[in-house]
Order: sequence, then C-alpha cells, then structure tokens
Amino acid sequence: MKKLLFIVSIIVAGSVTYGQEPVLESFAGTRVLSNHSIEMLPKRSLEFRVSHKFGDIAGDAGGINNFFGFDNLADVRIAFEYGILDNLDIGVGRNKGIGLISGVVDGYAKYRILHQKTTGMPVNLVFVSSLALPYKPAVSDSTSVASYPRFLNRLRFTNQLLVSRKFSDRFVLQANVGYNHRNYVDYLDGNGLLFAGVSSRLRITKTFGLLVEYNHVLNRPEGVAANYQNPLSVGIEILTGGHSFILNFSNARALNENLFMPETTANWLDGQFRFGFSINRQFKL
Amino acid sequence: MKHLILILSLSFLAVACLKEKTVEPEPIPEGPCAETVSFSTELLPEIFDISCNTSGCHDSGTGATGYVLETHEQISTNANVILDVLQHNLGFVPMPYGGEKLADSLIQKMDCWIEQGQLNN
Repeated sequence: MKKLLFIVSIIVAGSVTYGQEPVLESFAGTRVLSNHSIEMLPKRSLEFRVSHKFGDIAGDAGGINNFFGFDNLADVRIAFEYGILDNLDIGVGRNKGIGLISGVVDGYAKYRILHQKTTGMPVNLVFVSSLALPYKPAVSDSTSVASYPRFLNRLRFTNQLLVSRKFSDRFVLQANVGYNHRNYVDYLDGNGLLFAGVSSRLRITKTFGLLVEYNHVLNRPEGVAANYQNPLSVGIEILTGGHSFILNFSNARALNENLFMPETTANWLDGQFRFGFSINRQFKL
Repeated sequence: MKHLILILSLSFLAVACLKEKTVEPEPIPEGPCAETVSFSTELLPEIFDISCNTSGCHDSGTGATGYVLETHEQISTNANVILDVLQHNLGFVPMPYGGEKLADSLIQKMDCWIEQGQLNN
C-alpha cells in the first residue's frame, strides 16, 4: 500500500510539473519569415545570421533573363544576435537596404513578457523594439527622403507586441501590432505608421510545413497610399534533423522591419515577389 | 509594472522622435514655358542674330539708339524693354524697326527666357 501511494504520488507530481512546462518550438527560429517570431534565443547563445532576398521572380524585372531574380540582390542582412537572458535578446545587423535607404545598420531588443505553458498561461507575449540607421552620405536634393538635413533624421524605429499561441504541434498562430516611426519622410507621407499583422505555421507532415506572414499598414496617408503595398510572405519549411530550412517568397524587398513595414512597394500581382532564405548558426558562449 | 518599466526602457523610440519631412518639390512647369529656353542655341541665333544685331542696327559697330544686343549681358540688361518692343506694346517703338512683327513662337521664347531667370545657357 505504501509502495502504491509512493508510485501514485510520483505520477501525480510528475504530471503536475509536466503540466506547467513552457511550450517550446512555436516557430523554428527567431523570425517567422521576415518579421520577428515569439521565439527567443537561449540564454548566452550568440546567433550569426545571414539573410538574403533576391530579385523579382516574375514581372518586368524577372523572368529567364536574370534567372528568375537570382542574378539580382534585393537585400542582404548580416547580423549577430545574442540571448542575454532566456527572456531577453539583443541584436545588431547590417543591411544592404533598399532604394534610397541603403547601407543600413539596425539594432533591436526583444523581451518575452509571457511564456505559453502546457497548462495555465495560454499565450506567448513578446515585445520587440528596433532601430535602423542608414549611414550613407545624404543626397543634396532636398526633396529626397535621403537628404537628411541633420543626423537624427536618419533614425527610424519600430515597436511591436507579438502574441502567439501554439494550438497543437501542427498549428501555431501569431498576431502582432506595432508602430513604425521614421524621422524623415516624403512631404506627403506620415512619420508614424501603425500596423497589424498575422503569421501562422502549419506543419503538414513531420518534415514539411507552411508559413505565412502578413502585415497591414493602417494609417498610410491617402496621397501616397497607392504607391505602397503591404508586405505578404509565404514560406515552405523543411525540417531536416534539428535544422529547419525555410524557403521564403515575399513581395517585401527589405529584411528589417524598419524598412519593409513602411517601404514595401513591390506587388505580388505584378510578379514582383522574390525568393529569400536565412542561414543561422548558434554558438554557446 | 516591472514589465512596463522594462519595456519602456527597451524601446528605442524613446531615443529621439522627430516629425520632419522632405521639402515639397517645385511643381513641374506646364504650358508654353515647360521647356527651358537655351540662350546660346535658341534665343541668340533665332532672334538676335537675325533680327537685332545685324549690320547697321544693334551691332557693336552701330549701336542704334544706344542698344548693342550681341552678348548675354547686353541682352539680359535690356530684357524687359526688348520684350515690350517685340510685343509692340503701347509706348514702345515697335521692333524690328520697319519690319514685320516676329513670330509669336519667338516672342514666347523671349518671354519664357525672362521667366526662367534669363539663363546664360
């Protein structure tokens, strides 16, 4: 009888602690496709991250002449990102940039407020703040967004709240709201843009999954709204023994949220979407 | 509360937030003066060399009524008077003296050249 009680108590205790386990692997990495995911880097691990986006696959700039965009480089980002704590990451990166906003350094801080548990806490809640700084010399044409009358005009910021829930091993849903601020914009454009988005990960088989990420800019001024598109990315995820390879297709040319949230002009319907991928390696420090 | 303080301290937006915009571009000129008139390839050969600074008139040898119209500086100084006389405005001696009024397109060019700042181009 004593033995039985002991066994039962172990099972109960085991199931209780199991029940409060944090839910892991909502997404394969710290990004869904282009934007941040709720995933954090493990404490004291340094991630080296190289992200790449190619030229338009179809449309006027794509096709066989440049091998469906592979001859062109839309943007590339090289970054070091570090998990200070399990719930706090920082990162710095360098972007090629897009259009007039080229040669961009970025930095971010990311903090996990809530972590989904197997019982109890139903969601993850993460805050990300990032900053971008195009460092190339200002152009002399004062009507250009790259004319930067003073240094502070170069800065742009994005603050986001990400909330996600892993409903099952197959299905994860993430929503985000955020505010992007640019210190220098076209005279018709708005300095501050609000955006909201949804992302999802759907695993179809053990090794194969689909990803989608969409963001909608909510308050683009009417005068310039027709010039811009909302960034939509779809991805195919292939899990190969502990490593996940993601094929990313997106209309957004840029890789940093300070660029692709406010500056996406390419349109899926015009064939202006591109292939992209990331290579990331983690080092324990 | 701890979260809120941490979030606020992490937010880069607190660094410096400006609301500045680019200079509004000059409207693209429409109508007859949309294109910039060239002094050296249009104005001088089409108007002045043919109708003004010919021998015995406003050339440097004659300088009729004190006007010599051979260089950009000479023409530029008298630009408004030249336009008045070419347009045969009241109170001005109509030019070319004793000849037909110049074609409207040529007078228009003179007008545009003045409007565009009398460029020496």
